[in-house]
Amino acid sequence: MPGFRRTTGRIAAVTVAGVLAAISLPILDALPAGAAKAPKSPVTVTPGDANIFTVAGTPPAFPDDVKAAVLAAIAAYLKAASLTAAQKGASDATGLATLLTGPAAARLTSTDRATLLDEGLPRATGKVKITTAPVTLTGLADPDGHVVIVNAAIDATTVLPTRSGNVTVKRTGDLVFAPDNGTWKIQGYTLTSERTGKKLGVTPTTTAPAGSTATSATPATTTRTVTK
Amino acid sequence: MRNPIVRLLVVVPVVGLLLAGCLTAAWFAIGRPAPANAAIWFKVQKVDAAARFADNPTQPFFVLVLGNDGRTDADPGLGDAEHIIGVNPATGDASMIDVPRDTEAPNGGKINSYHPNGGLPANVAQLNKMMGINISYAMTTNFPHFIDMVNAIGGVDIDVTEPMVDSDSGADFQPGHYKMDGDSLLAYTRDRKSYPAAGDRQRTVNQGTAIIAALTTLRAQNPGVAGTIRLTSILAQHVKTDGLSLTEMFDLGRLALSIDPAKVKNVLLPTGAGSGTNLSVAPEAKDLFADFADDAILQRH
Repeated sequence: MPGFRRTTGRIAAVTVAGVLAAISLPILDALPAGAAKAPKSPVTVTPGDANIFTVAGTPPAFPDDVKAAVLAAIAAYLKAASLTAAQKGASDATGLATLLTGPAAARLTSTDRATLLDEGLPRATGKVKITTAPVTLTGLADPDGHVVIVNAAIDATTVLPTRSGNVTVKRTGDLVFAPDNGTWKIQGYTLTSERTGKKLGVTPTTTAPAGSTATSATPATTTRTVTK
Repeated sequence: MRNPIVRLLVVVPVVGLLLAGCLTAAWFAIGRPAPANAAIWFKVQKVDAAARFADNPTQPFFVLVLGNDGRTDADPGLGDAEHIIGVNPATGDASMIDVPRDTEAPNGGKINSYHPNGGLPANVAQLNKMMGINISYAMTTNFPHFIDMVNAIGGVDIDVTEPMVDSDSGADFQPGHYKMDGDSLLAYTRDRKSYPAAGDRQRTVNQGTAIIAALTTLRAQNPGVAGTIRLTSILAQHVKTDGLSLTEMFDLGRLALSIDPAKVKNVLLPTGAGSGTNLSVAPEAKDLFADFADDAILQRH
């Protein structure tokens, strides 16, 4: 009964396809838009408390749009300064240029660079992960309620696998954001970067000029601990 | 948290108080925000219209901190405490030159007479001419507001090194450590009769000491950038600004609070006998001014 067998086979194939579709569609539908195509981000920025101070009247609630923009900028900074540098040996200069104000970007030519960027580390041989402790935001609002300055207290950890084992970078301190042509950019910082791991390939300890502060030149210190 | 019982605090030393920067004195406040109609404690003015700190954050600059003897807001007061602070953001250093009030101005007369006759710009013009510098910002406060500011921050720690007893100023201190409230700090910075020889010159040095002590207090009370934001929000309610934005106040305040008070050099302007009761600028001041003018920091003095 060849005809019967062909018919049975078609029915079975359609049934299996239908079952698979029935199972997979709800799962795909439950995922965030684009999640089915984009891989999970290697940078995870966890939001924390958000406080705001104002010079007049009752402090407004911390604007959601400002919070989202600053957190996104932090993620972008960590990706450009740490992830890309770890994967390619050099930071994402183009990406950084869009994240820092002009005066802050100018400081990248100083000794602060070693603290701000993870350059010179062993090349990553596997997936690099960056996570943060909850980021606390503190904003300053003008008399009209517009936020003009946001400080982000960060505690970020980068883990990159290398041929000699994992290298860990712990970056802690403050990133100061200000609005700049419609986006929030880093205009200042007070950061400490501590690297641990074998064969770091960088100067064990470097410190930016003590007290080199300013809008974009807050003291940046780098502590690199080499474990052999 | 804004607790209606908590008070703001702010400080500023005598002369103005503040520290390395214009707003410096400013950074003497703490506590919770004041009501919308909070009193104005001090005035900050951008006296050099071309000064743009945000665009040149590593450029050295100068600030005048002036304490006037006005007893009311209507009285501009003599510029009896004049301190020029040089700040070098690139190195995080600051230096201060203390100018005795009786110092003869380049255009004649005592330097303290220019504030009531032309305000901060007139006073600054004389100092610029005297020292060969270009002061960017100036701030001033009077007696009652000075007291308010110091009280608001809970006082300032001062080490008195020799007996100070002067009924005119109200000073009555034996050597030792004091947490001075507004009245006490004002007395400390006004006392000249406890120093038979040095007189006003020692008083002027004490004023500089008070400014640095106030900075120390503010730094301790407002750690980190978040502390600067909080302080800025409070001070902005008590300051009258001219040519200064809120963001610029924050930037300058952040810079001021980043400076280590222990590294601030406090130098008295060398003077000699002048005409009448005036003090003339001593010849050796020429080298002092040159040292100051090149990068805002005193390396050789």
